Amino acid sequence: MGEVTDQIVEVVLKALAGGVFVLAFAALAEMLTPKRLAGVFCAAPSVALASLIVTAGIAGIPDVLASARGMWIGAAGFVLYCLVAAPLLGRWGAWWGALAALAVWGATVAAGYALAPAGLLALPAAAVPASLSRPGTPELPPPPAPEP
Amino acid sequence: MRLRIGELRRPPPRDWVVRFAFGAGVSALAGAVSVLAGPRAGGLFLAFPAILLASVTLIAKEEGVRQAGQDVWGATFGALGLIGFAVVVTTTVVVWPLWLSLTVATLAWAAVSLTLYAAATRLRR
Repeated sequence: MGEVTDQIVEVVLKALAGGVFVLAFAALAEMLTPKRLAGVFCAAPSVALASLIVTAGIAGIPDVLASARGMWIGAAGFVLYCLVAAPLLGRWGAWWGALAALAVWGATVAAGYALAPAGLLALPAAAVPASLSRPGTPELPPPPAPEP
Repeated sequence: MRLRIGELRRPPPRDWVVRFAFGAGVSALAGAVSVLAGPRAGGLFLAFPAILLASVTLIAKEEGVRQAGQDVWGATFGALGLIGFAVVVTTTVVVWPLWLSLTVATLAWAAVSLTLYAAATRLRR
């Protein structure tokens, strides 16, 4: 029961932080001239910043690392989404064009998630300080001593 | 490029509420996926194009499909910057303090997306 409550609190905190960060980037885009830069800010890392900060506070740095690795795939899908959406908007209109492009994003991230190695851009284990490992993570047994 | 604080008064309050709701919704979705399927799966949704989707449909309604296409064109460079953001976090978060890693990643996003946007705009003319 306690674990479920913690998970709900985590999702709610991420939602609140995400809303605040999206507002902050939207305000920046609103203040910025020239206005044609607004499109760039539609792909600002607002949700990522909010989510990673809350993740670091609750789950620790190893989960931030895993989330960032997943974000690689999501961002590659986002680039494809934009490349596909631009011609589809003209052909099928805003709603259908944007929704069809969203299907492309979904297919890309599903394929990327299944095929990309989980340790993409992983640092060697020795580079991760022991103090950053998640609480409750079982310790690995020491390597066997070399035979004389 | 210039910042004009007075521009903040231009959008109606309803627009700010909609933006907050979209940000909160996408973040809740990423959080829920992370809880149910693990942080790597949740990470996919840190680059979910929901904010762009909302913006494009609103702009198409108010200013036309052509202007919405311009926003999508700009967002392509923002999305390329998001790859840079994720690369910086992945390579630095275990060796630098979190605040430094996220600050440098955000600066990398801005540098990649705005530089590529400026270069592409110049080539397009």
